[in-house]
Amino acid sequence: MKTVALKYCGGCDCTYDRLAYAKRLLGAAEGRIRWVTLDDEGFDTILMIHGCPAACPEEKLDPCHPWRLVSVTDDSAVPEEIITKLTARGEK
Amino acid sequence: MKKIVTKEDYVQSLKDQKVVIYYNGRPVEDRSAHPGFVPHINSAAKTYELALMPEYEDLMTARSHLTGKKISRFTHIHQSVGDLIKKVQMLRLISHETASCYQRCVGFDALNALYMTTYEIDEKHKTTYFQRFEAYLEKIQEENFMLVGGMTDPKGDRSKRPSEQADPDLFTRIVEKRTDGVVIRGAKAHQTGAVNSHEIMILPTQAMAAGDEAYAVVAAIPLDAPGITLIFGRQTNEERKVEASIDAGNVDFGMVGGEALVIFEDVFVPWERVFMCGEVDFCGTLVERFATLHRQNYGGCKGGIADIIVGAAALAARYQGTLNASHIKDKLVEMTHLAETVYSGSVACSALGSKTRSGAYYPDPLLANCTKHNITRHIYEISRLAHDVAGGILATLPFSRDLKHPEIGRHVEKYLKGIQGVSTETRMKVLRLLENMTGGTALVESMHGAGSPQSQRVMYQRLGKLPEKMRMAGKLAKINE
Repeated sequence: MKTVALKYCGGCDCTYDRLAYAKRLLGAAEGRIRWVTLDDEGFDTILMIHGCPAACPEEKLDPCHPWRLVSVTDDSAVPEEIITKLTARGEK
Repeated sequence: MKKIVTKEDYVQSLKDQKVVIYYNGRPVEDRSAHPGFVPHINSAAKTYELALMPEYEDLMTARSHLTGKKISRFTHIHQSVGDLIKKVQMLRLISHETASCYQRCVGFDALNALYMTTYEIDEKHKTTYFQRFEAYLEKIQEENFMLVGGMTDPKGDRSKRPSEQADPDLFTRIVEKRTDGVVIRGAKAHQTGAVNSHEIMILPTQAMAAGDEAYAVVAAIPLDAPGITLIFGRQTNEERKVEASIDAGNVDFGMVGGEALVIFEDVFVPWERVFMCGEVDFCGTLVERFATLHRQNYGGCKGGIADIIVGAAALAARYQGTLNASHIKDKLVEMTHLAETVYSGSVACSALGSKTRSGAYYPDPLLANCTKHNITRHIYEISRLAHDVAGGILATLPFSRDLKHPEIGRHVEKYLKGIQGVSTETRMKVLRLLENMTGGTALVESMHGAGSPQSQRVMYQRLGKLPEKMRMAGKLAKINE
């Protein structure tokens, strides 16, 4: 099972319901992804769920670190497509 | 103090700390459960609740530069421009959750102003305030207790300096210096969140001059220290909080922050909690920094509150069938414009922030003052437009008991109904929310909180670079004299 760190932005003025979208995505990924936080270890992929295109938390990530970063900034992305990106190997 | 993590920890800590408080002429036995205080407690508790939620932690928490630990952002010292912006974003977020004041920004701003200023006092006077202050900062970051920023003195005759007042206690002062500490006498007025806080940080209320040394005092004092008495301020419609009905408007979170007069009758403070004692040359700097940091906030918190007013006005219009009228849509657009204008001021003064010698970051003071000055106007205009959109019913609604009455309730239901499919009670709820947020104490707070408009205009005179503007104009006009 793939291990992915889930990180939300702070949610100051979201343009969509981040939690509702995350619930859909997490439900679709059940059994395929083990979710952890950035404080944990053992992941090489991060799913960032942002409330708007400003994507604030990405600024804090170390650009030299070899994480694979998948970002969501609205609820138009199909969960299955995001899951495919998260579980794919070898691509940024 | 035991570390406060959850809302439950916070409420229990208020119960455990016995503070002398009077409400409407009576002493309060249990401040954690008093109906006059519970809405304000709920608002402040949101700052603890949201910090534990992964979807908000990026704004609500930060890494301590002292310990590297994750801490509440309300105890953080700004380490970058990004931190200054996150502060504003955090305030807008919490306003969306409470539509009220959650009070912790005052202590937050006091901590940051003191971090910068004690560092510079020590540089000049070879004192050790900064070291003491860092120890205090580490304590509050670890324990996460709630701190009142105690700035405003009663001030008596405003035409006279502190040391010239007929009653010397009208500015908070040191009445005795001992080997183990100082003794404080005086009062702090309009203290937001005081009845549901744990400590107060007293600060000088204005710039001081030679002769005012006794008034140049900064000290952190637990609110249960012997000699402290709090008298809660009466608010518009506060009896509705006791009723706990829909008439309260914002039932869970109340109106503004809950202010109190805090009186110090010869309160002893040990030296390790004293961060300024007689350095009159730094009072002006400290006041200006605190004011700038506090004025920075208002486009965030009031911008967020304005978002709720816009939403409530739109709901009120929908419930009475006017939402699609062009003039209503235009008023909602204007309200949105004003809300985003105040928010942009807070973001702008943060984005142009700079590093102080202590390492802490500080917003642009001219833009921060401009932000707060806009609040003294735009929140009134937003509220005026909300009243316009809502209609006269906002001021003439009957009691919720009338709606529930077994005999006359049917009349209220029938004659105050708007569109089909929406109950009269629903319509009344949103109108009461608007009433709560746009009148009385809520408006006055926008005018005078973080300093009255004139105090911002004084800053414009100081920071507005008028000679430079005259020089530029003269150059373009080719004036050679």
